[in-house]
Amino acid sequence: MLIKLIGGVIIITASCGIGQTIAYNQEMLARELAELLSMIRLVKSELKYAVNDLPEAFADMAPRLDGTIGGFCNNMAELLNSNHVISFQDAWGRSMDKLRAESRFGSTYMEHVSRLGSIIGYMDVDGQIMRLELLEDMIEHDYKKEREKTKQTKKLSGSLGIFGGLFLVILML
Amino acid sequence: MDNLLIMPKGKSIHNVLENEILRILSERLRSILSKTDINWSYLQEIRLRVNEPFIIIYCNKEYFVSEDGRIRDTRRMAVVVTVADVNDTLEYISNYSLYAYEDDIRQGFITIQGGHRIGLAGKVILENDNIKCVRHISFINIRVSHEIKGCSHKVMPFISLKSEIAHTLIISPPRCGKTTLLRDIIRSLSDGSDLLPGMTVGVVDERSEIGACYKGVPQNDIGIRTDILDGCPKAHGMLMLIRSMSPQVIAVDELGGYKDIEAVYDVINCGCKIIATIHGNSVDDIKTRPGIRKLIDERVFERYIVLHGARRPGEVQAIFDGRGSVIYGGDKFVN
Repeated sequence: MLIKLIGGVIIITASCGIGQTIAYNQEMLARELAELLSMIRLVKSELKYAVNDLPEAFADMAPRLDGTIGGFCNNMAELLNSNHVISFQDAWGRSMDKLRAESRFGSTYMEHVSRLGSIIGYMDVDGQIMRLELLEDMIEHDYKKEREKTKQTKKLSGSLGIFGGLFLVILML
Repeated sequence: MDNLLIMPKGKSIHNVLENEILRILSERLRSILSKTDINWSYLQEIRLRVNEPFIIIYCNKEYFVSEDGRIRDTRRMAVVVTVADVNDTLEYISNYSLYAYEDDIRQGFITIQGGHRIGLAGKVILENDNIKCVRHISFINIRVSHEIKGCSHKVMPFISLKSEIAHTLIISPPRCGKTTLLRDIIRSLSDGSDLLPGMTVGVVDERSEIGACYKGVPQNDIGIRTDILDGCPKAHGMLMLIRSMSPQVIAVDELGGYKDIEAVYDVINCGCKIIATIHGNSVDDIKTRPGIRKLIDERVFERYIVLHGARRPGEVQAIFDGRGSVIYGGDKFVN
């Protein structure tokens, strides 16, 4: 009986853990999207007001952004400061590969990052700002969607974790 | 009389120049140019035109560069510049940030670290009759800046009048070293020398070629008593400097418009000395320009230094006083 009880507790704990992990991943995805939004806003202010070169802009942005997006900026700053041995698009591509491996972004959100790389660095600041604002709107929309989804996932995965575990325990008894 | 050369032979600026120039070229062109056996001190220009041969101006002569890094007189075997070469070069020139140089590009050039001037041409986009930007840039001219300390040494005795400097105009065709000479005169005046004590010099560096300021800090040595107004139009800048920095000498590069001429009068009326440069082949040549003619006729300038156009850069052809009398070389100009 004691073994069954211990087994039941382990199953319930594991299923709750799985539920929490799903909720945590969803929450982190929303946070990463929020960081991406912050990055776009910082890029806009760099273009509009600071008018720094991109290597310097990325180095400035990196400590102001958390997690994988901060790491992305840091990586860009390092690559662009490497004495002109790499083109901007190559540097962006390499940093995206790293971001893809480390972040929770799926192909849709990686597409946003890719689009951001194709916008910045050129002439016509007004045109770049307009395109950045369009991208910002799209990501903002996705962020709100993911944030809503996070709330639901937290509740759902919490309840499902407990009840799923209980259900399994009952089945096994 | 021996030729008066302001660019001494064998001056070792090779490595600095090589690094500054190579790092802005596309990887392919960088690798080709690094194979060449040239003395970088005498490299004057690099010209990139999409689908055209890779050309350098070296020792006042045009050469084509071949894949194996040889420089040749004929375009046969010359490397052809591609769109990717121009785009990569543009990316490196602007440090991946063309937007940061939008104002400069509207004027047609960017000045990079080291004071090298990059001329750009392509499709001009207009907005309300003003240049909005330049797109599809397909032509790049890299003009190599040469900071040669001490190159004004031989000229200084000719432009020094007792304990002060003469109002001086340096006349030279493009690519003959007038900015290099002006920069060293500024440095010499500012630091002081056996001839003259150190003076406060104000420089209006409209095209960032004299001081080559990078983020406000001069990259070239322009002396310990020099203040620079970087990127400022000459006419405005000269007046601003007089009002704000009380200079004893004002130096400007490439005098041109009527406003510049008016500002020169303001400078001399304030008791400042002026040292300026102008494009031209001789004093007679620049006299064809009405504003400049007035300055010459009124003997505003006390010294004219004419650099040689046909021979090697930096060779002084003649030095005249304000009346047109020859102080060094050349024939007297009609005044």
